[in-house]
Amino acid sequence: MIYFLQPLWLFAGLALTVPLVIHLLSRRSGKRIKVGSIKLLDDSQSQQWKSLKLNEAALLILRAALLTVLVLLLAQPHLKNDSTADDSSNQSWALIAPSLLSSPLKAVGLESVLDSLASAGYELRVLGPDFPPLSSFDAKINSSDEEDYWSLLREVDAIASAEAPLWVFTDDHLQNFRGERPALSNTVQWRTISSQRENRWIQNAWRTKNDSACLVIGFSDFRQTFFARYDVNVPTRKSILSESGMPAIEVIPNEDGHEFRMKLLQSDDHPDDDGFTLRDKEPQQNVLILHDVQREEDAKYVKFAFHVVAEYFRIPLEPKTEILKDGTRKNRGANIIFWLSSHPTPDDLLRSIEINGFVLVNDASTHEYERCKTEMIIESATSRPRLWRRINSTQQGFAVWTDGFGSPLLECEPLGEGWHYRFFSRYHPLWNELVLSPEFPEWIASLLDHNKSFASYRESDLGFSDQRRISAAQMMPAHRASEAQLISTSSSESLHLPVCILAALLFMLERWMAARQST
Amino acid sequence: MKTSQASSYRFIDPRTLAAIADLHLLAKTVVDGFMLGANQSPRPGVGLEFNQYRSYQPGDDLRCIDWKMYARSDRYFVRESEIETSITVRFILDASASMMHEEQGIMKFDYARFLIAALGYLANMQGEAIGLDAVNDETISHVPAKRDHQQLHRFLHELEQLRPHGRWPGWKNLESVFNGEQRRQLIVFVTDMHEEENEITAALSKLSALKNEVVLFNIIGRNETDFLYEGALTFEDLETGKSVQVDALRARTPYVAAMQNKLRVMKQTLHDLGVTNELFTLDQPLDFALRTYLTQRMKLA
Repeated sequence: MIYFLQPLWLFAGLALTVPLVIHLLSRRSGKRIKVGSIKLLDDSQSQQWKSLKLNEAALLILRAALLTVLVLLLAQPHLKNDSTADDSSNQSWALIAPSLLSSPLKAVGLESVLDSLASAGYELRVLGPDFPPLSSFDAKINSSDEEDYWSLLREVDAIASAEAPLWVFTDDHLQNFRGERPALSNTVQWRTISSQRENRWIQNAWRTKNDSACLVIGFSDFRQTFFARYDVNVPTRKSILSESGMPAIEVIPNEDGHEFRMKLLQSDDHPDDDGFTLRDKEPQQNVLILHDVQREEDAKYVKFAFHVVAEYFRIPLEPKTEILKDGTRKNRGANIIFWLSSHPTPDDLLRSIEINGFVLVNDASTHEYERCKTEMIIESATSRPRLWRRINSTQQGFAVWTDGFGSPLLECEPLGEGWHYRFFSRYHPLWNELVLSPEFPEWIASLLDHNKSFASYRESDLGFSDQRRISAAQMMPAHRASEAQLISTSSSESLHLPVCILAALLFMLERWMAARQST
Repeated sequence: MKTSQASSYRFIDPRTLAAIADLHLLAKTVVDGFMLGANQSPRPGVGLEFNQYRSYQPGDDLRCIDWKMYARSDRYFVRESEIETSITVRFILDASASMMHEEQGIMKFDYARFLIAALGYLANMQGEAIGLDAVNDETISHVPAKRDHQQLHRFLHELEQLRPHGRWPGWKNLESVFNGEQRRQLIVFVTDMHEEENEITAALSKLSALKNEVVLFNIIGRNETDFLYEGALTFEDLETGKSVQVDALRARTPYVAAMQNKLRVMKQTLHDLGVTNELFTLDQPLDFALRTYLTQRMKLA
């Protein structure tokens, strides 16, 4: 089947009227010859008219053909090779998601529907890679939790014919619908089988003190997914924890009594759930905030940000502030050091950072600032704190934050084992809005990530238990006119060259014939 | 030597002649070439112009003896002079627009002028009175027939000034011009015979009825007889301005047949009228016309 990539060019076929008009008009003219008398020519006049028309008709047809071929050339004809589409397009498909096949069809109420579809001539196939027939599909081997129904349907749409509706049976888990909603040329009858599942799982659990722990439990049902945090006492032997609002949790200590596994009691649908091992209490994190007298307020903001982080994550964190008198200070085992001073950072402090892998944060190293009126561009932040004062920056590391003009505001540089941050402003409301915004404790918490053992407190893996459902209105693919069917995976061949050759041949023939006529 | 020269002059292509602007020179070129080596044989007899003396022979008219010669030489001589046999030659030129028909760079009208110039020169040289009438429906240029020395210049000058225009007029317009002459004359009628309704034929019949010797030089193009055109063409009539579209290939056969028929009918008609009819194609040298003229001239001698 021939189709065109640029069918709009077919309107150029109107140019066919041009040779037609030319031929009609040219009949009137002709070489004019003056002779003494035309008396003897009068009789044959009417005959000549007819013969004139006949003689040029062949040329006209040739020219029209040439124009038609040129128009076809512009429209970029392609020959569609239907052989691949033929065998599958004759029959319509009913597609069943593999997640429905893990249990018997009768259980989900599909058996009778599929039977009647099969008797109506539908081919039953699995909505999975390569769309294997249902009869040859082994749910146990091929089943996977994550599917992408929309992209699979796009694939089906490209292969299947648009004559009969597609029947699709899937679950309605939101996580299986990803990307952009497709527009299909096939009509789709989509039936979803809902499973009324409600999932709970322990997302995180760690000791906050010797006898207490913090639990993060995830809940997910068809409406929402949320996380709740509980402070519990850790029993010394195997027991069941039950507090108000919290699902019952079984605590199982191992043989030596140091390690505890926590397991949700009603996890019937996850029999292989072996629970969550309670993390040990973290070693104390020492934070040292060294500051000038002038920057006492700055130090307070930083200190309280650390308090917030410590409280939120239930981690032992002890921020200490100290006033710098002579501009020199030795590190006494702090993991994170804030140097809030216009004095340069002492070399021995830098060296201890290099060796021990700590984090050092400097702020504005001079009192001379420049006024500006812009925002702080913080990656992955929900807000943009305003910035009024900053100092000039000389970039040494890579920029973490920038101001609205693109010049770095916070930069980070690896320093031996440790990390060195330079902030070109101050932690003060007179300088910027940072300390008042939620981005500040967020950033403070991210500083803790440089400590590898601590990073596990913040990790999250939410995907597997998301039980939210998609609504039918959101799910249904848009319908698209079926000319889009032409853009399919079936192979097609450009007719450019043969049409070019035909045009050239026609052109030569036309020239030859025109030359013959004029002589 | 003489023959080679003669042949080189003899067949001058009319197209070559067309390059010669001066009609006098043209006529001289043609006629001299034609007459080269031809023996003039005017009849000797009694006349005004002295030609020769010869000895008396019995039977000669005694009045012809030149007595002065007898007194001088004591012998009888007979004074001979050329007999005056001169006639009037009137050239009638069809100056209608159809004479503008052109073929291979030469126009019928020009050809006719060359023809008349050459004949006029020849006639003048032979002592005939020559006159010219160029006729169309707007003007009739009339050069009265005379025999004097200036006549050839007047004649050729008038001929040079002529331009073809309009159509052939009716006989009524011509009557006054041709009826005045009482003497018998040789009328050389040069035309293309393109007439609307027999008006030229009518004029010819009137002229021949006046006891004139009429010679018709019918000038025709090769394309007119053989229709050598090709392709789709539009033909425009030079006189009427009408045009007709024709596919030459298809029209050729009927046209040639019609043309042959027309020529045959015309020949018959002219023969009936006693008009000598000669057909000239535009590529034909003028010598043929001169010979025809001389033949006709003999009839009137």
